Amino acid sequence: MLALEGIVKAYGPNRVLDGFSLHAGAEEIVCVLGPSGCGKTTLLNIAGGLIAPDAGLVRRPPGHPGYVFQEARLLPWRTAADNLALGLRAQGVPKKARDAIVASYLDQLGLAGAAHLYPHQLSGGMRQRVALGRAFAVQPAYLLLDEPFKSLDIGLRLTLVRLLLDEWLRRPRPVLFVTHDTAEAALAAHRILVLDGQPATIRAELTIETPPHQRQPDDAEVLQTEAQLYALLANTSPTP
Amino acid sequence: MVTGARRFLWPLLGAVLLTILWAVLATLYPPILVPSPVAVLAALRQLAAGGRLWQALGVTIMRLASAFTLGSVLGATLGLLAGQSEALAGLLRPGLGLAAGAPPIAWIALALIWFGTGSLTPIVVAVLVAAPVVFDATLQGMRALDRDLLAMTRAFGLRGAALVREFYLPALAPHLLSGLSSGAALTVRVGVMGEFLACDRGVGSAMALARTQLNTAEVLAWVLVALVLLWLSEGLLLGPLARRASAWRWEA
Repeated sequence: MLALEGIVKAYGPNRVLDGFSLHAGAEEIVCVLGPSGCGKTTLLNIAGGLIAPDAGLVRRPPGHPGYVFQEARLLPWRTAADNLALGLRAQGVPKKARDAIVASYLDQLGLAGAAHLYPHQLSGGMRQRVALGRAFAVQPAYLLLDEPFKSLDIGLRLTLVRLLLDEWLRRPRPVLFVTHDTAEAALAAHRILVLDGQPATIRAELTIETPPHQRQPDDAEVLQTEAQLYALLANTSPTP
Repeated sequence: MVTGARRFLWPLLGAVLLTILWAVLATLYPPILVPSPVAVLAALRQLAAGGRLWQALGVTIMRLASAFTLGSVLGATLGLLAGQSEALAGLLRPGLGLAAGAPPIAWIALALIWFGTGSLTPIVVAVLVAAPVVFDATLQGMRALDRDLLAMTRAFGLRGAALVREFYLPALAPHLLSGLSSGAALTVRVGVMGEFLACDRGVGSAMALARTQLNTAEVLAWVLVALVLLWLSEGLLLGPLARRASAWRWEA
């Protein structure tokens, strides 16, 4: 389980988080929605240990996090395969084991033909696939996704959500998934938190019964959740 | 990118025109003022045949290589550190500004007083002049680093030597190499000048000797030698490094 308890974080006079708590169960995908600037990215960075909270407790499953950012953030001087292997190299995984893991993810993500291409030779969708693969490859104990599909068109977005769910199904683990996109959340989450700021508060919490990998974008339940989310988000107070 | 042939065509033409201009001037003035290109090449051949060329080159290359290594390491290290701390960057700026801004001849005068004649004077002066250039380029590179990419490397647990190899070195390479390139040029120019005034061996001091003998052809022959040194540092060291560092950019 991944849990944040009573987290306080301020930037100067700005209290972004003030006694904020959330958790994602051992096999749970939790989507976090909310207006820009309500502290979602700060939340993820605290969950992953990139930022220390001013107060509060973070419980993480033992092991590494797998991060996916809004932009692909690939090393421009490394090929797709080498970028995918970055976390493994950082952990000192021997080359042979590394190559096997990389090959299997390149294959799963439909990147086998792109292994030797550099990021500037890849499309936006391909780059984000590499970023997904890089996060999956470290066999993370939990996944932290910060609007990872934001800049992609809807078709690509759904494909990548599907790839994410495939990977999660193979290795269920806590996932904290920050997004702006109601369709993405309705499709991928076990539980959805709608946030409001500032400081961040949980404005609404929705649980979806059907397991994510069994949903389709046009299921009644998915569409209904989307509509609910839309109504909630349209009502969130804009941050000053 | 410019294609191979064109890249060399215009500079080559420029060099030919310059040589023609030189040859024309040589017919207008006595050889003691402007020796002809042929006379200079003859002087160069004579220096090579007598062994003086190789002896002077050996000494000068040792000095310049030491100065370049010291200056680069010093400049790059300080640049890397200053890139992490604005306070340190501010603290270093006046000192490095002084080193780079004072006329090199002033440093030579001081170095002559401090160290006397010998190898130390040209080396110290070349380091003083070249290190700030490498420092500036490195600091600029540090400031241009992609913060998001750096945060990514941290998120994936890259640290220490691996972080330098995977991120800092390739990200800084273009800045670092342009700094090293300017640093190498300054090292040759200032180093040879230091030798001219402070040493009794090496290319610069050979030039000084030729001057006192009013052997203008030989002075110019030594100038050519200094130019070749600069080309060699570019062609054999920095050029290939730069091509290697930016190879990924040209993959289409």
